[in-house]
Amino acid sequence: MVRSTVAALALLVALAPGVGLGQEDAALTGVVTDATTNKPLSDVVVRARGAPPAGLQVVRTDATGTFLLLQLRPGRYELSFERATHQALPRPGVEARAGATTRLDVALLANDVTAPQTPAGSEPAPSVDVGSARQAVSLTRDFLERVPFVAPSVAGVRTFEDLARAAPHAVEDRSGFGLNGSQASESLYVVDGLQVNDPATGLLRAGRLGGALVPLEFLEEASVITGGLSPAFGRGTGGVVTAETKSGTNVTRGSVWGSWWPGALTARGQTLRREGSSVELDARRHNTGDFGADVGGALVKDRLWFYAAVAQGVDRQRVTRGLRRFLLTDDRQDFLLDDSGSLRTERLAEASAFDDRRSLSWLAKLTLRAAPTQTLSLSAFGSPQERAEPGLGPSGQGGARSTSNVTTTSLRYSGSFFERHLVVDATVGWSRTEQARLPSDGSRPGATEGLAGVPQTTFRGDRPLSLLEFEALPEGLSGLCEPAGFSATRRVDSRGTSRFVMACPVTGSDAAFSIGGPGLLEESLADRLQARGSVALRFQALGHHVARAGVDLDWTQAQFTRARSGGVSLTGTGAVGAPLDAEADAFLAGPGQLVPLLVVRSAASQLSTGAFLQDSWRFADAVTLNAGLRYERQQLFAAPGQPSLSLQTLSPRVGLVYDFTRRGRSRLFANYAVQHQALPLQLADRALNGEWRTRTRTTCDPVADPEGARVACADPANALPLDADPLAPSQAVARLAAGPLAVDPALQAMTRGELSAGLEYEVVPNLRVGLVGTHAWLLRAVEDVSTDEGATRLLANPGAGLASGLPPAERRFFSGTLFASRAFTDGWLLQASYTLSSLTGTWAGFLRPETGQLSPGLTTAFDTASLTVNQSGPLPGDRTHLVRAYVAKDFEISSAVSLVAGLAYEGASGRPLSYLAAAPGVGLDEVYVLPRGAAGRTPWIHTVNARAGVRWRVTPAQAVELQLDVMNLFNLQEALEVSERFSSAAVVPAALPAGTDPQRAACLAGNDPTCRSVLEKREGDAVVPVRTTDLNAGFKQPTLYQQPLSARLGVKLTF
Amino acid sequence: MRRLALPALLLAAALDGCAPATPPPSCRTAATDEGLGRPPYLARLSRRETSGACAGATLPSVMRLGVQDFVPPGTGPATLALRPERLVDLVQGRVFLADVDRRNDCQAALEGDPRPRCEACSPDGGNACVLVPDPVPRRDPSGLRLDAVGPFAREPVAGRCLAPEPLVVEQQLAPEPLTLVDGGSATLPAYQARFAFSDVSVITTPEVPGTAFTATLTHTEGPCTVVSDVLAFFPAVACTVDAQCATALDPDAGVRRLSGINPAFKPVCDPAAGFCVPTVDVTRPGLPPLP
Repeated sequence: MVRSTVAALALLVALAPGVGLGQEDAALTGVVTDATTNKPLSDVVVRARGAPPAGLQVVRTDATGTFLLLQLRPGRYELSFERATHQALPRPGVEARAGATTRLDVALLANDVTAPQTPAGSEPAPSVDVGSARQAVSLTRDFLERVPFVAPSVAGVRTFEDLARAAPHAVEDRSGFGLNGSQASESLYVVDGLQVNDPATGLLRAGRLGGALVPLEFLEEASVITGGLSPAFGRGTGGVVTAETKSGTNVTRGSVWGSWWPGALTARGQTLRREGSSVELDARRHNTGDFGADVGGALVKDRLWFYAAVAQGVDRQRVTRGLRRFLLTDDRQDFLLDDSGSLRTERLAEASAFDDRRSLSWLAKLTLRAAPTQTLSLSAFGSPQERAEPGLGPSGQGGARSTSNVTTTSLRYSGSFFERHLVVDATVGWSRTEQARLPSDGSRPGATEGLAGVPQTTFRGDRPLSLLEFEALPEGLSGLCEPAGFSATRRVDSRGTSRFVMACPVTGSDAAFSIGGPGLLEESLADRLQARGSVALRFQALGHHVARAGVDLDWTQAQFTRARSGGVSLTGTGAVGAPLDAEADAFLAGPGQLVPLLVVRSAASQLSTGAFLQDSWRFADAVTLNAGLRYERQQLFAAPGQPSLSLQTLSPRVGLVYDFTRRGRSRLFANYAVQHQALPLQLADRALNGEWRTRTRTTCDPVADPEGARVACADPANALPLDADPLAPSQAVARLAAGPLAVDPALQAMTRGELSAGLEYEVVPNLRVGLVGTHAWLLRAVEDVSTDEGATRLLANPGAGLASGLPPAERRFFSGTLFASRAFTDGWLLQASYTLSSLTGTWAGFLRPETGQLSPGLTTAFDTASLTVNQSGPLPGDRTHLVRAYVAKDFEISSAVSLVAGLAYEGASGRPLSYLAAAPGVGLDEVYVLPRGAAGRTPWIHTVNARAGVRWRVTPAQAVELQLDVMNLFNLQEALEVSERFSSAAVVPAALPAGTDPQRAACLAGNDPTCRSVLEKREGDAVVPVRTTDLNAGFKQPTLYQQPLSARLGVKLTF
Repeated sequence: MRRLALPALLLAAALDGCAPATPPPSCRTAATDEGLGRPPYLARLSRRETSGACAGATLPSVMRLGVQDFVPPGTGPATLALRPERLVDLVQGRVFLADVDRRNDCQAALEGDPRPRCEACSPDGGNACVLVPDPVPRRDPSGLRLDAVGPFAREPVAGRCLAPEPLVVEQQLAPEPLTLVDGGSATLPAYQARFAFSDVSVITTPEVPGTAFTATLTHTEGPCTVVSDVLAFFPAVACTVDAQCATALDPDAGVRRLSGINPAFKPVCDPAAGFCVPTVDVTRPGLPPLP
């Protein structure tokens, strides 16, 4: 079959092709016609020459006059069309876009025809992707260098993870940017064909640091793909952020850059109004900066290229811990207020230290054209980072050091065979992720000496404790605070809020106070091997076909070590000296026989295999049908010898594209896809290996006797009986977790369906506008559930199988996006979009935004049926309106000097708020008192960043650029997050009859004193009405503000 | 074509064992964990044989059982503990209340007994339902060995996890003098009680994950020995109406709290026993309805 196709297509000769590497290859197609007769011309020799390492690709048009250039590296190409009977036509400056198939039709003049005055083919080539229904934002070097939409986020470096914010529907939460209603851990982050997600959580960030930190300066181009993914991408139910690093060209080029983001040029931000505590923790930027250098060139011209880059970032924050007192009236019965109605305070003492984050990113790459049709690329990347958390407060508590290092090595191959009928891509990569959070004094987890042996004690609760219980004030100031042992009384203050009146409280309402050691310590090491290969075959059968097939493998193995400093985590809810709740990693060997596990070591691994088939069928000149199928399978293994969990999905991916201009200037498209989500290793470790945790009540006193506490608090002999049902065999120990989870035999993989359709049109050359509608819905989620209120737990799909009694996990996303995009040409670029969307359902994803719990597959969302009441509503990632506008323009002042101006505007309407209360035995903020989203919305957030730069071309090859970035140009200080804690009591979710206004029923609307609220709370076994004293005074108070106005200076030297 | 062989091999290796797999259940029970509010199991006892001098019924037909499994990490041996309510009542003196002071029937209300006998009290003076000190010394159950403990399997065989040896607990109580509320005096008698659970077989299937078990109980109290068949399930929920046994929330019908009973058990309230009981046969696969 292949041979006959060769005959039908005549000779396709490959000389020295410019081969791309991988999924983000570009393709160019088009029809060559005779300018006079408009008939298609066959056997036209089409040459495409790109900048090295892209070389020369030569193809011929077939009988229908169509040519197809596959596997192109994205970039600019010079095309030429030659035929013996016609005049040669050069077409320089044809842009091949990553991941897209663009169309360029040309007309050749016969030899005997005179050329017209205006040469044909002078207008730019069309830029619409007519080959697929892919929706993506393309971020070229021109965009990345000019538009100030990314600020240094982790350790002084602007990394590629933040590129996701450029997508029309990108919503930020604590785990990153989620695309199209999914969360950040569901997106794939791909650099040079390798996935760089942290294997334990699926996020890019590993722990508290940045994971694979690839600076923007290393990148050649990047794309954020939000819809219409080809079957080559598996394992994620979100979008894809993919980037290609630079490779080096024939000319040796390099740059040196540096930036400085000083605290002196940062405005004072809004301080959070925390009224429950005398302790104020404030972190301000002291200095953030980075500098780096890169160089790329040819070791052997036209054969071997190299690229090397290194960047170092430093982020120093000044953390100040201040002690203050609230000013009281003379009779000490009420607080004094200032003009704005806040409590008046007076600073008593303060201490400050630096919170330092450092990062180093390095990349080395070699690209070899081994043979005219074979290209190999070898690259290595590393990003060690560290963070030193200062230990401020009594006993230097909290001092910890976090480290993270991601090292990857990869080999990519690209080649073609059988005269470019068969195109092969393969990538193999190995990466190692190490991360740790250890005490700053170097003591090891499980040790009894040093900070690792000091338990952390947290005091919280309704009744506030005095500051003087825990620390001393400077000479003479002690009299200003209540003494240790003081018991405050509750009063209704002048603002009508019920609170305990006290000058120096450190606990009470939302506040908590910690002493002792650094708390949770952890170390992990993960090794990952990825391999993928795909082939593409061209043939003709009632149109043009490109059939693709591929396989990919992902094997990850991780080891985890966890410990608590001192062996226990202590919580006190009463007075100092009263018994404490001690939580430890421990198991029971018999009734009341507690065996502590000072260090928990576990291992987990997973093997994901995928295979896909796709046919891209182009017929009727302008219609393309992409029909594909992807099979994805994931096996999760716990420790060796443990049985594994295996989940698989068969996902169809079908797309239809119609170019109604037939010239590559438009597309009308529709796409249907099913996506499979690979479960992160943290789930395998905790669910299949199991956890063993207990809680006891202990009589140790870490405040009075910190040294003795090391031994006393972990000693099982000091455990008091818990409030006893006399039938419990273990009267003094409650087990929070004991062993692995059972798994529903009918468990299915997490999957998401997506349907999108849209229209895109190139109005004028290089300016595309379009309208896209997307509907995405969660098909199944994997969560730990209990059908008997927590007595037995299992891993299941809520709403299916053994969990049929629970409501299903739902997430419904609808959006309509209007966008305009102009690539950087003639000195300016534009990217703008407006999205109207709705995200509703019962499950947000692996991260539970209400509590900040990031536990893939193990959140509390479906833990018991009573937690699922009122769970349905607008999800935290719902933003009704999203606006993005990015503009940049170059102004040529003289032949050597140019000005660069860039502006980035991101606007989002508010996020929905809920009324949250505590669930007994689970924690705070777990229960929806009224239906989700009933508490209104936060206001609009606008982010405006501007950049101004001066570029001076010293010589044709060397340039110097000075940049000034102003973040938050108008110093808008809107609250990004507010407290949704309606009450810390165990309020029963109000099950209201349909049609009742929840606000009215709960007496939250208006101030009608005769209103009787339907709200009730649990107190032990009884259910009693909710009182005003149960309501949290901090409800809807801001907990996070926008970063204030700041300026960042940068300098870059290119040579 | 050799170039395509390697990808094909990888594909074949990857697709090996195409059917999805989940780990089989391991031997666990629902545990009576206090501090977390987890209730005991409810055991239904059907008397088989009695021997010795048994005056009247010593054990009711339903009894609550505290249960806890102990499965350590790794591959070490597992343990099972059962704590019978009758033994706890004996040790705490609850059994003797009615004997000790017949005139003070209101004592029962203070013990949290779900069927208070206060209706016998007269509203004016005498034995009105008022708080009176308990005359019976309450022994702290945490200091005593009240659990029948024995080894437990780690892996189920044919859907059952067995305890290979009988689980036995025995207590000897010495006579004890008491001062009563009304000033009189009495003596708690000496008592000897022994509970032996043999053939403990915990049902461990995905539908019933250790929340039901069968056993044979040989119960000796003083001169009386009773052998009963035990069918126990989790949890023991006291009830007077069916709504208290609900497994699905139904705010319109007044069901605001779940019982925590496995919905597959289809429980209803048994007024004679005073507890929710399943209407399916939990010992048979597929949980067929009881006749």
